[in-house]
Amino acid sequence: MSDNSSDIDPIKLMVVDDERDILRIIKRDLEADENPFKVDVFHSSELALQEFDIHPKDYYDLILTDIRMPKMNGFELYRRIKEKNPAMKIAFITAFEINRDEFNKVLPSIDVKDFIIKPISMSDLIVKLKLIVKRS
Amino acid sequence: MFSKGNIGLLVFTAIIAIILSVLSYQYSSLTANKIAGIASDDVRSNARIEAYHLSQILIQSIEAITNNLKALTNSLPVLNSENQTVQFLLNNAQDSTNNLTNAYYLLNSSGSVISSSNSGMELRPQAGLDLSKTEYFLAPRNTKLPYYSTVKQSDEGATIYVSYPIFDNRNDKLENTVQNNTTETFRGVIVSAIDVEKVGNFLQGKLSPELISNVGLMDKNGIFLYARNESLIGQNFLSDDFQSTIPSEIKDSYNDILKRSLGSESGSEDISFNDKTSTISYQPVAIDAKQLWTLYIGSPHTLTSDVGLLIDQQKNFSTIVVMAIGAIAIGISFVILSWNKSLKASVRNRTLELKSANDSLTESNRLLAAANEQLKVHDKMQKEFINVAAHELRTPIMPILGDAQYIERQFNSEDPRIQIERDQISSLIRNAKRLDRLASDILDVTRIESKSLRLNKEKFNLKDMIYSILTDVKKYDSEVTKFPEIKYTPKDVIVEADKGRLSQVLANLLSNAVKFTEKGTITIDTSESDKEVIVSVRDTGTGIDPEVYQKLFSKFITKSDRGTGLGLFISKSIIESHGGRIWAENNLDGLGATFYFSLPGSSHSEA
Repeated sequence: MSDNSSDIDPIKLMVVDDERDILRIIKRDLEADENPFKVDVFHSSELALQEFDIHPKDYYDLILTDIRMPKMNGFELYRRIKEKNPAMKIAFITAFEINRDEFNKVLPSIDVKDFIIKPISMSDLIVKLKLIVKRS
Repeated sequence: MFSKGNIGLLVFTAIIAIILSVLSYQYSSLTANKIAGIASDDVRSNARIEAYHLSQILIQSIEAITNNLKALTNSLPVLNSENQTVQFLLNNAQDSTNNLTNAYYLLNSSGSVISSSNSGMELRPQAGLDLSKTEYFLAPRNTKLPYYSTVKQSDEGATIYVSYPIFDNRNDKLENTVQNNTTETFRGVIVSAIDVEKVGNFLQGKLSPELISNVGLMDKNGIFLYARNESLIGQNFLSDDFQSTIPSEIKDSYNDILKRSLGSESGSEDISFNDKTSTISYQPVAIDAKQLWTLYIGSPHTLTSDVGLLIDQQKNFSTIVVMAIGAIAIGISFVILSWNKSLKASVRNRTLELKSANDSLTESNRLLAAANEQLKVHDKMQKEFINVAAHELRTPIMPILGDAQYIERQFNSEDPRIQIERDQISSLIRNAKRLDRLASDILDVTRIESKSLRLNKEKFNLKDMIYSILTDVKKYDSEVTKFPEIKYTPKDVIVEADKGRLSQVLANLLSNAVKFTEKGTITIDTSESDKEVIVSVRDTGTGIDPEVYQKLFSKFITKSDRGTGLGLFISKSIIESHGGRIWAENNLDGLGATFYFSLPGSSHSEA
């Protein structure tokens, strides 16, 4: 860890995806030396919710979740988290052929910080996540 | 043929026609009677005018005679008995009234003929003839007034005598007018003989020629002075001779008319017998302000019956016209109703045709809608597939790219050590295989749909194939932490099939079973009969969702969050191209489902 990153509190990030390979590379790359992230990864929504309840409601700075997952999908997770903390920032990462306009039609009031389409290179993902956190 | 309402309409039209006919007939009758009345009035009025006119002519002519007589009684030659001159005067008088009179005579105070006109009749009274017994001498002498005789039959025919008395009062006039009566000296009478035949001809000649009429003249006692029938002249109208000529049916009314006519009033009355009507007009004739005679004009006419006939014709004609109109109306109603009926029928037919056309249109619309719905579903499925395929294609790329870039970055750093973990390589291989499987599936579907799926059949033992698959499945799904137990009791079953394709089917069924079974067991079983070999894969998972059960082996059908929904479709195609069947059912104990496929039996099996 560099001096720079130890001085500032890291951005606490929760990542939920049923693809273990994806969780692995996201955690590895986002927590690499030069990046200001502390990443907790979960391969199901249920496990993620359990972890969320352990911490204070504003413990995580951002939650990044997949949409298509077994049992509880990303939308349901979004709903549950917003129930617990409406101010929680949530972004979706999905391989679906989806754009924001389509989502806005279905869920006009949804407070989603971003729709990130897979595959995305890790460097691009890091830039996006930094932007989301800084913006708000 | 027609409905009740239409028959009612026809009857109504007929009744209206009949009522109109009757009304028309009645109205015609009324009008006819009025016209007949007017015509009769007109005839009577004309006859009365004619009678009046004729009486005036008669009076004028008679007055000409009386004027002559008056003049003669006062003339000096008469008073002075200047016989030559008197003869001349009498001749003149006779000439002036020759149309009516036969002669004028002068009788002396003792009733002998002094002189008579010589013109006219041959048989005139000769001078010296004693006429002292005659009424026309005695009456004026006694009454000192003019005398009008009734009709007298004489040698000269029927004659009416008019006589004026001659009084000479010349000597006493100046002396004593008071004693006028006593001093007047009766000197005789002047007589004029009026020829009844001449009067008749005169009167008849003065009648309007267009009026076919009879003229008669009666004195105030009811004696015919003149009549067409000469035998009646001189007879009283009450005499048997006359009465016998009147038909008994009208005798009373006829006599009443004649009695009335003897009064001072003029009149005109109709008398009808046997459809023949006569108008009898009578006009009193007064001479010297004294009513002497009554003039008759009898006009038998057929006018009433003529008018009646005409009117009857008119009545019948108008009735026939109305009836004809009624008949035509009924005919037209009939035609219209028939037309309407056929129109109704054709409208009904057209309506039925249109309805059936509409029905078939509705039906085709329904089919179209259904087809459209199907297309929509298909479209949705296609979209879903693209979405799922995109998801399945993109998801493995991210870890492959992530690991590869991570390793690449190590080459770019100053640190010469390159750290590569086993995990990274496994991930690369695993995700690449996943892409490979997806590519294969898509290719298989393409082959199936273009019917170019080829089988390379060989004989092999199913047991060997199942062992091999179990090893692969365990490897492939090693990332699943709680891997279900797979039970298999090995049996030697020889089949003739495409080994690779059959492995694909079994691997697909097995991987589905694993996917939906978190805990419990998966049981693979094989059974063999003469006919077929049946392979079953039984799990204790969630069972088949009823939503997808019907379309389980169709394309893009999946309830999983992973996979394309192509597996079972491909499996079905492979099994069917082997001549076998594939099916599935939920387990009766409510836990999980069992998938079966069959292959046609191989003739020999080995131990």
